[in-house]
Amino acid sequence: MLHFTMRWPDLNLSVDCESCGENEAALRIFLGNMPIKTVQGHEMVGGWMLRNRSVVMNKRFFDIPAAKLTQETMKDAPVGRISLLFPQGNMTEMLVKYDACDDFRSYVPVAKVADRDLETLKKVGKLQWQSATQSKRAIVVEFIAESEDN
Amino acid sequence: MKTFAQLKAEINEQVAMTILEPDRDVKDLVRFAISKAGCGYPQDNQIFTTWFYGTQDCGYIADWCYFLVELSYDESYSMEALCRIARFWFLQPSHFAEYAGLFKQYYFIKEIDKIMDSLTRQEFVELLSVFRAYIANINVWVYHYFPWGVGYAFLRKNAEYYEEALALCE
Amino acid sequence: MDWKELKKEIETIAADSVENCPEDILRVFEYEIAPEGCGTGGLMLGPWFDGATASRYLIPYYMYNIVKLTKDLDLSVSQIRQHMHLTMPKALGTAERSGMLVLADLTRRTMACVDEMENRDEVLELLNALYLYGSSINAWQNYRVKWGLNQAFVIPTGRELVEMAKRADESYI
Repeated sequence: MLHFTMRWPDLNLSVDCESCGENEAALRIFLGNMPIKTVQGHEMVGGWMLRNRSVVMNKRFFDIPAAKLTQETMKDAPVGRISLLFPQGNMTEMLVKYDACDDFRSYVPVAKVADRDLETLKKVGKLQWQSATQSKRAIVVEFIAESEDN
Repeated sequence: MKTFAQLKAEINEQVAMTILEPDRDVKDLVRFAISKAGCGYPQDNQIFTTWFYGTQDCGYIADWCYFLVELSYDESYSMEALCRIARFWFLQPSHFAEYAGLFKQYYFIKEIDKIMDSLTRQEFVELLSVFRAYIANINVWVYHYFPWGVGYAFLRKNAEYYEEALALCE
Repeated sequence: MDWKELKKEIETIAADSVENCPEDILRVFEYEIAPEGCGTGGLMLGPWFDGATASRYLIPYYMYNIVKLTKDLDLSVSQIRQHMHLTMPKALGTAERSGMLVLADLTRRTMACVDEMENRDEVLELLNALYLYGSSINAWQNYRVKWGLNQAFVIPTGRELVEMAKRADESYI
């Protein structure tokens, strides 16, 4: 099982993440690029999802063609789902579902937040929403690889 | 004219600098509402239309790069065809984003344009990939600085809302 | 569905939209009505900002580019399908999620129809019909956006910026 941590140092919060059984080759490339930092964002149309609009991959080039990746809609995904959007080359977008959403757009599922951390994830989501709509405080998210298998 | 390696390194440097800090162009435009090339001034001296049209192009320019790299995996497209498609796709939105005040991204696009015909397929992929990372970083800050909270003045309405409004009109 | 029937349906809807604002646009941009789940937190600014751009890219950019490239690069029908399925789905999903339901429906059905067609000229006829409708959608969205918001975001002059900078230490934060 592939593991990594998503951490928000400014919030003193973190969640454990693990592979979801889909697109493991994609997740391995993502893990191979860790540690990664980016400014946290929020989805503005499709519902309660964290959205990282640029997750830079500098160490391992993402070279899996789109046709070889499976997809699912966030509407059908469980809360805690971590999915990539247009992963390729040096960059991917990422969405993390932290509460109910009706988003029927398709994304590349790669991982999920551990069940025990879903409440923490929701807390992060609400704080990020506050940042996006009110405080404009830039919150950084870090991805750190954990498993020796990575 | 820069070499592929030089241009890639230059863009990469900007990618690294813009991950956690905004590019000056995007901060000036979206945080400070400064119009440098005149965008928005003729339309009642406001920056909102520039945000609406110009900044949104960032995410889509990144997507054009994504599409081009996906197409480049298809060997039936010659490099000449890929270069024609590239110029057809991203020059105009990038040029408009320059008018909006996002100068650096257009500078990079023009430099890519200059050397594109000399690139190998792999170089084409690598250069567009690193530029995509840069423009995506700019897009992050567009979304960060955009005043989404204004949306609380425009909440989604339903039938009940309008029925109540109608009753008050009578 | 036969491509000619679909084309006729699109043309009828497009003809109506020349003078009459499409209902989806009236709902979303004028009356702030949208399907449940459209607009995170119920805020319509996301569907306006993202949705209008997605609609603009979906047809006036992506569809236009496909038609133009078909002529410039002599794309085959198979390549037209490739370009459609590569460029359009993401913007299509966003436009649909932002309440542009008729646009999304006609686009999906057009793509499904093209997947079954072999004659390139017929494909281009169908795509051109959708292009005209999509352009109309773009025009109406631009007409209905609440541009009055503009005036909350006035551009500061150079002089004002200098004045602000000189007085920066008066700021509470």
